[in-house]
Amino acid sequence: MPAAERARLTEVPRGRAPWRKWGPYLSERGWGTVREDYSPDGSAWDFFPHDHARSRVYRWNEDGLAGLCDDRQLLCFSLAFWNGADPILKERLFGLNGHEGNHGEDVKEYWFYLDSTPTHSWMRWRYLYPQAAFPYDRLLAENAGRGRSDPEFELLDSGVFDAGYWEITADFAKQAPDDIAIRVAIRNAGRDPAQLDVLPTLWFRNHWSWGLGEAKPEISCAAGALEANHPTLGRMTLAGDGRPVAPEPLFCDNETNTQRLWGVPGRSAFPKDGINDHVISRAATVNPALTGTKAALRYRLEVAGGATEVIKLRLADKEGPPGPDFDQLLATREAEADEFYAALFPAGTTPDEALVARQALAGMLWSKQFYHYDVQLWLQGDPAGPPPPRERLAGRNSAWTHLDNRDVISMPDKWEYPWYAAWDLAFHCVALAHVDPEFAKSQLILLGREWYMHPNGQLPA
Amino acid sequence: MVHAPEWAAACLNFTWWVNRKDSEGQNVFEGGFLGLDNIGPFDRSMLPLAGRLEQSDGTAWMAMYCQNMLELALVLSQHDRAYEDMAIKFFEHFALIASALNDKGLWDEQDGFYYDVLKLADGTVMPLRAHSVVGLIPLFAVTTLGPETLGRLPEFQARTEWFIHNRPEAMTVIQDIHHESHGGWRMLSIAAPDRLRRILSRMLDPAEFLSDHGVRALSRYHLEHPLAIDVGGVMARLDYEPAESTSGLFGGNSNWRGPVWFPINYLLVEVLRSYHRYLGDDFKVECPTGSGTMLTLDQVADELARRLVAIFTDEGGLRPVFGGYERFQADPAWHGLIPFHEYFHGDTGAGLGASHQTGWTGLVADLVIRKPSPLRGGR
Repeated sequence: MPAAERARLTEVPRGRAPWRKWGPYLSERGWGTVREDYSPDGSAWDFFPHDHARSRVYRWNEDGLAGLCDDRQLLCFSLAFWNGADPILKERLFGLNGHEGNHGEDVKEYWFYLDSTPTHSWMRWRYLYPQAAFPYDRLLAENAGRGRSDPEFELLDSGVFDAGYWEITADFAKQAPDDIAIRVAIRNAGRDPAQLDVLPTLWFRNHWSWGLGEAKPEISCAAGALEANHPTLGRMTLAGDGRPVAPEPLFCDNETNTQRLWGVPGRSAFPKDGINDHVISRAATVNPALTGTKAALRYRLEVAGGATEVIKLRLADKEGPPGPDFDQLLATREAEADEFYAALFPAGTTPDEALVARQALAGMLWSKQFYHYDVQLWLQGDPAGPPPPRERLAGRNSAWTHLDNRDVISMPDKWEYPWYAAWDLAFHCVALAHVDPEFAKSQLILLGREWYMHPNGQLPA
Repeated sequence: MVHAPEWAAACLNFTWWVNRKDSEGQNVFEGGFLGLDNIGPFDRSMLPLAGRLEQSDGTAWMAMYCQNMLELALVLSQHDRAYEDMAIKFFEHFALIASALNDKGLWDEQDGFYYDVLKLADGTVMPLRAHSVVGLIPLFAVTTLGPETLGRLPEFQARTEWFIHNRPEAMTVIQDIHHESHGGWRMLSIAAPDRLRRILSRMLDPAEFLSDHGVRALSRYHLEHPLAIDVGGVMARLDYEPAESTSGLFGGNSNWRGPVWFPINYLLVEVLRSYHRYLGDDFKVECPTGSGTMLTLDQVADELARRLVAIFTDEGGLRPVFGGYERFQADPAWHGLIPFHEYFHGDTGAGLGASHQTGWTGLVADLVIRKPSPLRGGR
């Protein structure tokens, strides 16, 4: 395998194999952002809080844990977890908004990007999830009680990890551009046996509800696997191999639970939080017909203290469960990543420096995000929706109606700054150029294009 | 002309800045590029008094932008001579902006530092004596022209010679010492070598800017000497605050009053190498100030890069980035998991602000990849 990742990189610009089509392009925070804010006064945090995120459909983007999607963000994959103690599924990273934190917005979770090749042929992600109830209320209360001169109250300060936690590692390896092996290793980093629900989830970004004439895609169940059919993307199947336990397929729709939020009936009897409500409180909120626009494979695991269980999945344009060569594929892609990075670091680099630099580059590659924003449409509102408040026409971004973005862009931080910034992006490209000069170059050119740069020459930020 | 889409976009954006941010057309710029949010005693974009703030950094960024455009034009001119004209344009524009910065009283001879200057409506001129990166950013405007480039572009060379001899005021920003060690090189910089030396003596002083983990955004000098300014009967203060911001200025979500920020430090590493290309091994400064150790500017760059990487690497079982978190420092399952924060504590190097800003903090990878090999020698 001579320089396999380098070979994949050179295939991309020639358009031979779209190795970059699937990547970690899902955001980590869609709520509380300007694009999702349709309030008259631009109060983005209040208009779409974290508490709404599990129930309310996003207009412009999606978020999740270890999230993966195609470069148009039509189909999304992410992991959800439940420790049996929390009031909600852990579907996305929790943090305080700009008014709640004593030093502004701040994510209160521990997750790490441990590795990625530039084409995302190999990626590793880790998340540390408490076994005791996640202290949502305490994080809010402690920070609310602190002032500007105090440090922030972090999740570790709560001591919740002392009662045991889950060390969850997700590895991704591409057999082919549209054939992805996913291995989720779950280690019980506690003394006692404990239970964890793991829900690999597949859903479509909602692009059909806005009156733009786009057809609604569908996910259905085929031989225990999730089969997602989309008019332009085609068919993608998420399948497990039935181990360590047979998963239960659960279906709902990526539509708002208007009953919960506003007390009125909505478009679906099985809305976005249907799987959440079913797992947490056994509600009849999943579709018994096993069809919808959001679906999960629910694995209910019991893991002994110190032990590890492994879930194997395949997300592919072909049918079939993970095969006998599954582990070999992951090992090969990891070895190729080792080879790629070994060639990058000069002689004399210590192992610890290499560890730091590799995680830094992994973070940069994981921080790519599909960014969709048509300012004209955002200001005017959608054909199917109520017209937005008039104040918006003279408000934020009203002078940027030429802006129409729908690209994968390098973000400063996918939770705290899930939007691009011209200055930051230029710095990102210095580091990214070491691993993917084509991508770095295309990012800089993109910002100068007429659907980004203002006609007067100002760059968007 | 040879197709270069980013060149056209950069020209448009450059012109937007020139037309937008120089309200009196004097090549001195208000407004900044990097916000540096709370770096001053008051919000620099909303003055508490009638008047305007002439900013050392805003003007320096524009001088640097001219140089970036000049460098791009020189590269493109290897493929298309039409870019030679553009190179001349940006060379001259640099000289005008850079010499304006030196003429307009932003340099303080007494302190040997660049300051922002508040020009009030009643004619009062008030320098803001903050020892902050605002005064270091003029160092960013530096580039060198080699004999090979000049020889390849006779028109550029002739025109720049004319300019240098007919615009004596520009001589302060174009170093053209016909000294043997410079070998026909020229250096374009806002700060001439004597000023560079004075600024570096503060920047490399552990009691001022130099922490064990990089250059602070605000000097530790202000711990003992807070800056207090009377703005219309109200005292505006600037204190050294090495951790999170204690004020609500700009939402209080970031802090430039003492912490270490990667984009600034990364550019400092880069420009020290540029100065070294021209000034060579004969130009040495004490680093750290007061240590008695004399280093070339290349060696200073190496030392600064080393300190930045050391925020993350293990030293005696500890990684400074983790700060006081015992779990990260002591638990083997956590110790190898590296967060990349937005900025770092000015005294301890502990990570602060956003925790996954592998955006610009990801530049640490570049510092590791380009780390000088011990085989290269030079020390």
